[in-house]
Amino acid sequence: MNANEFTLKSIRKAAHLTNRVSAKMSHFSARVEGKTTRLLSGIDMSVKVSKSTPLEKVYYANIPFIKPVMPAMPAVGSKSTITIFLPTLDNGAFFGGIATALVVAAKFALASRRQLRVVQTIKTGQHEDLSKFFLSEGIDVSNLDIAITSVADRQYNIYGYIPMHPDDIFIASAWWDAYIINQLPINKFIYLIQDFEPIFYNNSDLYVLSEKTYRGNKFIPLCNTRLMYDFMRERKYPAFNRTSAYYFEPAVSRIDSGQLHKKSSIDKKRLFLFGRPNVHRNLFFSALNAIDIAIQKGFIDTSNYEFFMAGQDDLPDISLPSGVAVKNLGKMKMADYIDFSKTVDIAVSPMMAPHPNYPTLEFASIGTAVVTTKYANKQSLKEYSENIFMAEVEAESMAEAIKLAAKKSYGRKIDDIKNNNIGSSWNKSLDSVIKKILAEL
Amino acid sequence: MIKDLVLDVSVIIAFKDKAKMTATAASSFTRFGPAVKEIVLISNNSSDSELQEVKNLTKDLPNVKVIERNVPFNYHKIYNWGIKQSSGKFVIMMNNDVELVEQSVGLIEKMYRKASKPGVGVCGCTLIYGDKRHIQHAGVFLQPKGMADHMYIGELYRDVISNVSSTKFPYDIRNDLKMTAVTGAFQLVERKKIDSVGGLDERFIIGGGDVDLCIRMNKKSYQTWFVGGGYMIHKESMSRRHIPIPYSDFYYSYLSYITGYDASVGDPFLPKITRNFKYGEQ
Repeated sequence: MNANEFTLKSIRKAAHLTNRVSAKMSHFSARVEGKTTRLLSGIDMSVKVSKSTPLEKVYYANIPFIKPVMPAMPAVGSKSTITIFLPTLDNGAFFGGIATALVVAAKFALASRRQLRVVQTIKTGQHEDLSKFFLSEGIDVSNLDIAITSVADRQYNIYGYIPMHPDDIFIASAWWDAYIINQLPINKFIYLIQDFEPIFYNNSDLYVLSEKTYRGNKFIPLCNTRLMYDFMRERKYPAFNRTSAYYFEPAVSRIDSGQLHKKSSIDKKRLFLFGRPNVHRNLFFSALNAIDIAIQKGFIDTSNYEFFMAGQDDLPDISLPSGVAVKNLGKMKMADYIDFSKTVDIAVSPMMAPHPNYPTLEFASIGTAVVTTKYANKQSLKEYSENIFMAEVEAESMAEAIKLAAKKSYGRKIDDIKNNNIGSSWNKSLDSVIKKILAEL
Repeated sequence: MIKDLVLDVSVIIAFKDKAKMTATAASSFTRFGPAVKEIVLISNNSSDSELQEVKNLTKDLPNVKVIERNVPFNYHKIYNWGIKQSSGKFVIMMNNDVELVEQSVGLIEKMYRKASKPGVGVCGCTLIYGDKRHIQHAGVFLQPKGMADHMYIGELYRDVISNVSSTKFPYDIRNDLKMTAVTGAFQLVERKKIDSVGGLDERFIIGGGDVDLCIRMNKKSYQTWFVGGGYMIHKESMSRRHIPIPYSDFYYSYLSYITGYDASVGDPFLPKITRNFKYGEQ
């Protein structure tokens, strides 16, 4: 090693060591910053910061999403709006509950000739072209008629304001948004009920607070599906037992994109699991067990089937004890997902909730045999489609349903499409009920 | 200064501790204000020592009485109660951090004359921060995208006077101006008129009730007026610490303010101030 080489290596070593030390320091200082921030904001109470802390500081540091939003005077020249509170528009594309809430709000805006205003309450998102999204759902709303705002950054000592025109109509879907809107100085709001949200929690403050939102009488309930409506009525919440409680059936049919493909005798069939372990009511692990049991019991001929799952990116392909691997397709683009759907012979889509989930209805609409789960008053989904097989929430019961789904022939599945009762037009789903609600407000 | 004329006015000043400041508020009347029927100092949960000091400091002032109302703080309840304990034909509701100064001479008399007119309700005036340079209050406007704010707050008094009729300072605070409201830090009103609307709304706790009072009186054809010329000192800090305002104050403020608001122009009395808060602009 010559002198130059030695010098360079020495410098490189020194730089490397400096780099490691600074990286450790940076990591350490970030942790210190995080810890002190949590201590000061009242989230972390491991160190006593002051003699006593105001209740609202501790309360809203730990349950930030119910921090009130302050009413404010409307802007000069503003007109009345349909204002929907949503957790965020961050996803770029909208699925499920958020997509439906946007559709409902847009339809109310069109029917009442008001502007649509979206208020993000949890996270300020980089929203995509909403007008384009609405068009894909068959609704024509110009971006010029859509205002997007956020109160997500509000804290216990930093107020979030919502300018309110006296004729604004408010819509909530998530329970915490209903909680906030319920506090605003308005007479009535529309509470879009898409789930019984207390079941998201253990017995806890959040359970109590979320359930409390159903007990008020300051809202008009609009339930997503008759089943959801019946479930709420059975619980005797006052607002749901009036004549002015409403429901609609979602327009989620995919039949316009085509039906289940017929496979040749050499093509393998496909079993698909709507797999989202982070959405607990989708019973991901019980469903995997159910597939394994179905294979072990010979309900599924593995030589004639491929196994897939999709819905979440950060999952490996999973090998079942029975020897087959379930391949994870992750979060698919909508167009790819729709194309793929038409190749799925059996879809396993559990939903431990009072309503049918959208994948169940979407798959059934194109002729796929779907296995889903019962819950409370949701005992049968035959009214939607004969292609839906109901199971109890245990894996063994789901395996039995997979057996029945596997037995159903392609011809019968396609035949049953014509008896389906799954909407494909939001106009048909919503126009009548929106008219009634607007008349009531 | 005409001291031989005693105005039929009860000055009501609530306080908690801060004996010197409270006594200064009262004594400033003797130096720069008119003679008034009485000055009623209401202690709200003051310490014994501070209360005693207030009594000591004001014992030589004419027509001052110190009484106690030891209930949980609610500005509106305390002043409503204070009005009932007083006897003047007119009442002044005043904060204990407000002080009359040389530039206040003649101002209360002017407000008194204004408030005596049949169609006039609450009267207020210019208040300057303790630095004696910046404006704290020159009337209240209903604020688009907010609730209510003070006109010209934080601006140099000198600038406001020397740039009258500019885009920034469209209204001349040396003139009397009709307003939506004036701050509760100093309000003068005829007793029978405030009684006719039931006094301050006690559903408010910390703030909002002063503006609400003016709006309700405006609706009853008792117009709120800002009386121009001269000023008092309001020793409120320019950089206020955060005082949590109960949500209910926002709730009731909205319900009240919206009734006095015009969405096409903003504040109906100060549209040149609110015209910049347009829809679609952040």
